[in-house]
Amino acid sequence: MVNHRINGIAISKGIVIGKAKLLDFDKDQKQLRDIKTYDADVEKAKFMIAKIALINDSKRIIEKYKHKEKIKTIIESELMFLQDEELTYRIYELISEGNRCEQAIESFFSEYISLVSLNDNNLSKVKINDIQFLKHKLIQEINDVENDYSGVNDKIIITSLLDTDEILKIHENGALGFATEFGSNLSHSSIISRSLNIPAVFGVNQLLGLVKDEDEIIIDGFLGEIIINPDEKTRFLYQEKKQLADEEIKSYLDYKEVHIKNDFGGKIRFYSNINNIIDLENTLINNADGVGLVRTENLVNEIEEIFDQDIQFEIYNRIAESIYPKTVTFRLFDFGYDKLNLNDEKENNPALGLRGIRYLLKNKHILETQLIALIKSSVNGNVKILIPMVTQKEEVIELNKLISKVSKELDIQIPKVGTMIETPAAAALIKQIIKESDFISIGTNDLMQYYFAADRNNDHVKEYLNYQDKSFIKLLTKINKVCKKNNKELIICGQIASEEDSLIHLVNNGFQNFSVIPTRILFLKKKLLK
Amino acid sequence: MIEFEVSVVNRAGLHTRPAATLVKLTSKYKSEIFIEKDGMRINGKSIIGVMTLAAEMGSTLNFEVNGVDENEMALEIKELFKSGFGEPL
Repeated sequence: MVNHRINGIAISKGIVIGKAKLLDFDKDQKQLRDIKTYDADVEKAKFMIAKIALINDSKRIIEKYKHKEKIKTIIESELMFLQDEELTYRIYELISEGNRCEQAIESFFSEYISLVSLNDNNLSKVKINDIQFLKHKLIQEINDVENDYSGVNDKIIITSLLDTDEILKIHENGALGFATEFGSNLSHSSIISRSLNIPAVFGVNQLLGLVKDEDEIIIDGFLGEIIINPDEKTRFLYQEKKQLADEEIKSYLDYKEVHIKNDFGGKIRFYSNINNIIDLENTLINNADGVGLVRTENLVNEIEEIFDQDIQFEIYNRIAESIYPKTVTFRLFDFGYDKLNLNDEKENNPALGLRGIRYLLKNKHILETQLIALIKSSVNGNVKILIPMVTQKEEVIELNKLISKVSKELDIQIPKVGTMIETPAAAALIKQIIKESDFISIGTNDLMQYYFAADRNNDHVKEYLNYQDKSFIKLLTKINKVCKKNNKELIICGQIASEEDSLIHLVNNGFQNFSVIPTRILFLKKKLLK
Repeated sequence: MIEFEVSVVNRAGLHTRPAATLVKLTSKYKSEIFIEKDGMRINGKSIIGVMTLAAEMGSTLNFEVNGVDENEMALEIKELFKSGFGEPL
């Protein structure tokens, strides 16, 4: 296989080029055991012992987390799975057919997964991941051996899944980077990888089947891509990219502590946009002035989390605590349109459909769950709430009422509530909306598409979306004036703030607060100072 | 023997948690239970079986319960599905 590229999830930044070392502990063990003779009763006993050990494990965890409903139910379902007679029955059947215990487990789970996939729906991928964890647990339990970390020095580790312990050991033993078949960017493993600065890509489909020991591997932790056996040209390109990336990062670091003022002596502030935990870390690394926009709908990993207050609180609180004493602005779920769309009926025109606050006001249980989680995380006073897709001042008034009601019930001070101006209607109503809002954020990407009636995802009408259009800048300037007059903060979000030309234009027109992707901040500071 | 139909009304469908809730319920009873969806028939006391159905919102499941406490079991199953497993509808 030459120059084969596969995508995964970008977990930890950096580029690394090196030789592969496969660490599939399950498979290593299988090969060892292949030498021995096969005895069906021994294989069945091995399965039974592993199963009982895991059942006892599960029971202990359930006892430990009996007050944490979510964890408890997940482990309980695992326990039921292990205790299910069909599992033991089928595994025994497979062993009797001549399979070893591990092979039987592998076959059982692949049969099971293909059955679930047959009844395909959008949740099955999540389910399959959960099931894979159980398979790993079983196989690891059966092998019951100390993992061998010799031979990882100067290698790129290719494996199915890594826990935090394994990452630390691999790092101590001198590995350059790693790629895994499973894993997510919210896991503890991903956080450890980033704090160790090891380039890493998780979630690479079929990885173990594609890579052999000693294959040459490039890991691109920026794009979340791995390249197997790169050709001469690709390797050269990546060596250059690696050098540039290393140098570039160094040159921007000088701007971390630099503060910029406009011609009138006003402070220019750069806030960050956050979609995930990586963005949060980058916010801290790049010394943003705060978080200007958390797209909360992107933090949702599974559909169940939309309804789960505890999970939401945990992640909101983590963000609020990490950024303290700076502030963080959480935009309420903006479901619908090109984001996570929960609408039952297909909409002919989702951009003009049930999205943002419109959806939330029609699904109050989702809104209330989110508000409780947000307000709980606002105890330190650095959390602000932003309302998306407003077209009427009544929407803002209704939200304010709801937020103050929930705050009172929780006995927490009411957080600041702002309005996102992203529709021409809201822009036109700014003088009324400002009275109901503690701050304003302009979602320029949407405001522009609605203003010019040009779909921002349609290449054919791209030329209609002009960042420097005079009438559009005039509209923004009008909003800015109203905010200044009322002494309310205004933040500009969207692509317009990320492009150096349009940013300079905005700064010259008196705008001071911008929210951009965190890795762009130092670059923009450098450009503004030039 | 009782046969009946239920619809999955909770938005997230019959994912892990509802599947576990259903199996917990069915396991309490002595009666046998089979669930059928799109030609696939599974034992309603097996979580592996229930999860294999991967029933999403709006899908219909056919139940067949048979035994001494079939009436109570059928009643409780219907209630459980109607309530959307306590999840938002």
